[in-house]
Amino acid sequence: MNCSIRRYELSLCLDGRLPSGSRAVVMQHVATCDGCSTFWSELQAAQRLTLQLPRVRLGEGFHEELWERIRAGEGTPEAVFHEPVPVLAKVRYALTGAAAAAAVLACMTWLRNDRVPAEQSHVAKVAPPANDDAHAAAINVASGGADASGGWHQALDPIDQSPLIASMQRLRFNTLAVETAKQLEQRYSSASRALRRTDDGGANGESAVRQVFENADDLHSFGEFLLAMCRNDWLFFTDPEVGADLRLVVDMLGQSRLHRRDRDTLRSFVAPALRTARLANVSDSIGLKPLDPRLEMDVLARLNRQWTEVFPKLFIVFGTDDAVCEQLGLFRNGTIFVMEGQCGPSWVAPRSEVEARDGLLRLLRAHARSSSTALPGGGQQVEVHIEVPRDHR
Amino acid sequence: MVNPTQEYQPDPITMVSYHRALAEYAESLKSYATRLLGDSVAAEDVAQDAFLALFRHLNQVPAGAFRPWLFRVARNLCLDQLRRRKFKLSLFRDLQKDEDRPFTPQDATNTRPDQLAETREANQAIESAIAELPTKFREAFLLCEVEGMSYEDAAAVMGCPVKTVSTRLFRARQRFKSLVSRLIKV
Repeated sequence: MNCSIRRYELSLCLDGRLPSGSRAVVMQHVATCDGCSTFWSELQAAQRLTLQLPRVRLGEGFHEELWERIRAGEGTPEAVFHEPVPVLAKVRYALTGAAAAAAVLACMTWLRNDRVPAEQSHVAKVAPPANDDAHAAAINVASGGADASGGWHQALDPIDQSPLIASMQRLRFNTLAVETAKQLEQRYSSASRALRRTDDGGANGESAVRQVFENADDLHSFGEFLLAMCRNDWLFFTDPEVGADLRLVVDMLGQSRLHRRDRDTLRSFVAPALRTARLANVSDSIGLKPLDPRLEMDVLARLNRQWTEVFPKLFIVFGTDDAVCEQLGLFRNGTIFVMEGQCGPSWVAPRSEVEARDGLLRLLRAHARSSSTALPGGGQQVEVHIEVPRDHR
Repeated sequence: MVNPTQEYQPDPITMVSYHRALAEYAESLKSYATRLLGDSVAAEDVAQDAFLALFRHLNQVPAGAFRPWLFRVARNLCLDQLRRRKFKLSLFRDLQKDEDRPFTPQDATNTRPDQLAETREANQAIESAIAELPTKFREAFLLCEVEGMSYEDAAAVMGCPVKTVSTRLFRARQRFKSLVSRLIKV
């Protein structure tokens, strides 16, 4: 029998808290156990000692003073309801608070991490499995416009610039190709319309001839640009006849540039080139081949250096002025990109997107001033500075 | 200090209960507070504060719960004082002073000086033994052993389960028995 338990029961027995059946068992044990018998006797003796303690008497004026305080309307001391909090409880409260704070922090961190890929989803695309057949893996970007990358891009390293620049989408090769095709179509349409007006007499006819040549020059440049991409196997034509027509047009317009800009040249080279109607839908007939993202950046940088006269006709460069882009609302409609240039990253917007907003284009023309800088490689960098009044949003 | 401006007038039956509580529990409340604080003057203030608080809350406390309620309030007040004044190390120090030594019936009956001195010495040893108990054990010991409170009421005062009261009381008795072993005459 465990004496420790029996002694605890003896303590209960002293207070009359033990049931009679248990009490008999405990007393039977006490009768046979010398140690517990002595304990029981000492326990009773100690209780007697306690009971003989003198009572503390109240002071003489206790009751009078109490009733005086009650009559005076004295309130309850605040400490009456100050429950002492055990140290363990304090530790538990502290740990609980710390755990709650850690949980909140973890949730916030998780949410922040979860938001970043979502914000960059326009540019961060996962590359599909490698495929030897380039044509099969190629995506027709024409139908989707600037964002129709078809899912073959990979995430890029963020640009070490302002947070706004770093968070925006980079200029991609597909955007460049589509914008070139759109500008080519636009020049083709303008040249064709102007060509129909060349038979007008007087100044209108002469003006139309100039417009035909101007648009034909741009058409030639954009066509050469697209064909250069095609030769580098970065781009292909989904409709081979469109590619063939483009080569023919570029060749004929290239010859026209060797001659005088008169009506004879117009009739001999430009007008036959503009007869093909397929150039009105080039953007619907081009496809892109998968590019390694790092190679893609190199390609864009090289094209920017080699075709310095083409890029300003494709994109409006806003530099690094966030305020201008914000005032023009370009951040809101997602038509602005970050392009890596020789002078670092800068904002660029496809001209077709900007020109689609006539008001915005007029605003740009009214407030834009350009400056060109000679680059070490022989080219020129054209910078366009725009100061937009604050009331234009 | 909370300053209740409302004028509460208890009904006559409640006032009778209050007067009875004052007569029955005032001394034991002061005794309990004295052994917790080691200061009879402060203990009397605690007892008075407890009864003042009871009067202000007569409409909230049933008459049957006056005793544990008073001891609970007294306990809170004592622990608050101990906390603020850091009296823990000086518990019962003042009790050893002659002027604070309580009057006991034995003083009147035991006229012989040697018996009187023996009784005083025994009482001091008992008080010292109680003072040496850990606070949690001392609470249980004072409420149940000295004041004769039930386990349930003691649990209500201490804010712990009844089982905890019985366990603490057992431990306190074991230690107290060892501390006063020389006084025990089996």
